[in-house]
Amino acid sequence: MKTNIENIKKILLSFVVAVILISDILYQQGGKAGTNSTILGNVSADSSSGFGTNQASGSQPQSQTFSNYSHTQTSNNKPNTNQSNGAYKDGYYTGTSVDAGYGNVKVAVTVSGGKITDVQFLDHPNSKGTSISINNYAMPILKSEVIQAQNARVDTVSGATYTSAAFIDSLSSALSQA
Amino acid sequence: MPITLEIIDPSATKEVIAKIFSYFERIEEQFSVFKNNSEITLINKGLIEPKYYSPEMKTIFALAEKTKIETNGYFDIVANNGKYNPSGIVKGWAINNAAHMLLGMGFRNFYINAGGDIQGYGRNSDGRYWSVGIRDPFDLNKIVKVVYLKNQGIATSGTYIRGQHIYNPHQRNNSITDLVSFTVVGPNIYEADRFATAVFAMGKAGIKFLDNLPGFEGYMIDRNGIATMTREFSKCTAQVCAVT
Repeated sequence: MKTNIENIKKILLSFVVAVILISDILYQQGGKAGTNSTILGNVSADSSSGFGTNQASGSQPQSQTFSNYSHTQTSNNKPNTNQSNGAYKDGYYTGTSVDAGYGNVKVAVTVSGGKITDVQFLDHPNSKGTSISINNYAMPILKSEVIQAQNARVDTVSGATYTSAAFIDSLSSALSQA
Repeated sequence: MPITLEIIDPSATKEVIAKIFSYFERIEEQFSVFKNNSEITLINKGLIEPKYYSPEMKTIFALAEKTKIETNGYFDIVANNGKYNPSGIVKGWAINNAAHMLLGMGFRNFYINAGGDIQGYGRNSDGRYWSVGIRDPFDLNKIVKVVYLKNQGIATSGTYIRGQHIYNPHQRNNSITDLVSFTVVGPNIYEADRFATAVFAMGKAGIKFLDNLPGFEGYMIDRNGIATMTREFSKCTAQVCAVT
């Protein structure tokens, strides 16, 4: 037997979820209208990471981040009726080779329907070396987990820096041709 | 390269900080492949013979060779274009040297963070072990883990690239794009840094390599947001890393 209060809670919860979903869709629509300046300058974070990260849709980090260039199509997205309303000319473009700090990064970009649909590495610092006989090591079962984003206060942060910048540089040079 | 330095000691003066920063500047002048007149650029142009390398350069080349052997070739300062690029070992080595400069000056509680690689000694201003956040590869504003260091080094290599469509056509079994981030904790930042580069190149096998390496712990994140860790890594987050 459900009480009125339970029903009200359910309605409120559905409303909140709906608002979040609508905001997210609207944000993504806004993001797709992005031009060259969005990509070369302040790239916004894609909130649909699926890890329960609770990010504010409007977050604009100072450090560089990446939008989801693969633009995975989900059923929530409206179909694109205008095929050539994107910022880029369709085609396949190769970026310049950029030093990543411990190797080179070179990317190629595929644009179709005016949007980036694929990004490939033609060169990457870690692409040397083929198979390695690591399988000789005894195999304990190592623990795995889904990562959980948090806002914990810490003294300092460890993160990669070099390859990201090189990726952006090579990608920018590819997109400047598109 | 962004450098952050915190020293818990009232006697730490501006001069001390300046000395450390100018050390890093000298290192850049020698080792930066982005500078036209750095020693490494001149070497790559064939303008300096090995016997005339500076002592630091000789040291780096020797350490690089040692690391290459220890990682079955996965660490290699020869880049794909045939030029030398020792950045993957210079950073940790330089931070370690700077940390020893501070120890030599009598400081016992500090950390140095250069480009996301960190060496910590002693405790922070709350008297706790230095807490280091591992950056979320999918949202650079957030962290995914807090690691506590006791006189240890931590380095993270990564691509921060998302998306199912990113692949390496030369390596379809693509070890590199399986991973987006690999954090290594070692007895010092020089050790952590040189292995962080190598294990990333090993792909998912890298965490096994690290698990078998005494004195190191690691936290590896794949492009699906699944992390795998070495056996004792949970100590790093619960209390403090046990590596010695």
